[in-house]
Amino acid sequence: MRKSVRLTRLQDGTWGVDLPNYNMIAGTHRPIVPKLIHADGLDPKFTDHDLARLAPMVEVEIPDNWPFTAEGQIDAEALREMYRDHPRFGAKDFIPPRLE
Amino acid sequence: MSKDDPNFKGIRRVSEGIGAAREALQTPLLHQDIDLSVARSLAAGTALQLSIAGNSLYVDQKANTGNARLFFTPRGEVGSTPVTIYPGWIGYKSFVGLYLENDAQAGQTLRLIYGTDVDFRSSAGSGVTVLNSPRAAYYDRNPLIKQFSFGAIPGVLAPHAPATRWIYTVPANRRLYLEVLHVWVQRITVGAPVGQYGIDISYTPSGGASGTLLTLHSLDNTVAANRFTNVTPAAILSPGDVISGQDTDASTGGTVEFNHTAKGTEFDA
Repeated sequence: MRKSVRLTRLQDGTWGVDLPNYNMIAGTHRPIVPKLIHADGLDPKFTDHDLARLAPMVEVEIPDNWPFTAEGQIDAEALREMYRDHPRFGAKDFIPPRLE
Repeated sequence: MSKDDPNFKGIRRVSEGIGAAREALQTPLLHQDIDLSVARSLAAGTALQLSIAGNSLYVDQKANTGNARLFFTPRGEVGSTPVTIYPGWIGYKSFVGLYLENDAQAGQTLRLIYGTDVDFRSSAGSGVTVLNSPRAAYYDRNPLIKQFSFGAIPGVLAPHAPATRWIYTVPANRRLYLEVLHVWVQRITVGAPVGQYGIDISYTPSGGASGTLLTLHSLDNTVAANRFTNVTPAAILSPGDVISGQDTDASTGGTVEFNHTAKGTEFDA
């Protein structure tokens, strides 16, 4: 299932999506901002301040068998149960990002 | 002299050595089926007395086979040391009468095959004996083929900060057999100046620290310079373990083609 999700800085310092399973689609970064965001990624000079200001999105492929709500969003509680062995994705305070 | 055991008519006497075969003392395979659904205990006086004799024992590896404890004691003395027997178990010890105790195992039975001077040999099958009931191979336990991949088509990326292009976390009650890793980079147009570009495949065990499973980096600024690595890791990932693919290009200008892929089979743990 292909969805747009907001980018974030992951725990290892790289830019990605805060989900336990995804495949990023090449050429789908938005918005395009010269010298900061191009279609395939964020410029090496991109900062956390830019992240808050520009809220970049990227398209990802996520598993079709994930639990979803009637509104088409990821069912947070069911996803946490599904990944209960992971210290972050199974934690009570983990909220998956909104899908668009 | 009769070849039968004096205590068990029809059963050949226990013998030792190759002479048994020469004297035709070796018995055919005999067996006794035991229902394990009811608990038995030597201490409680409910152990099963097996009126059999021989010196070779084997527990058949059929489906729904449970386990039990066997006492090599002809009178069932409490305090003697039991041997736990299970599918595929082989034992060589002279015996005239045995006692067996077991925990209640609903739906489980045990076929005890025995004889005199029968040379049971372990096989590849008995090397993977599993208690209670044999399990299907991993690729038959609700398998799902998983592929994690990033590749720009036509595969040309401008310089960019380190990005996690794909990530996979093993769900609860599942495992992943990681079969293939592939990484490929190729300089398409020159950077000015070039910076380090490359790919990392990372692995993080559940609750543990992240480590690099495979890395491929370069500072080669020559057009068409390329590097690749293919690995067949044959690794098992457990619930909560994470594998991910990252790429980066710290150059100024220029473009690089990246491709990184992992393939595995997810199955019931």
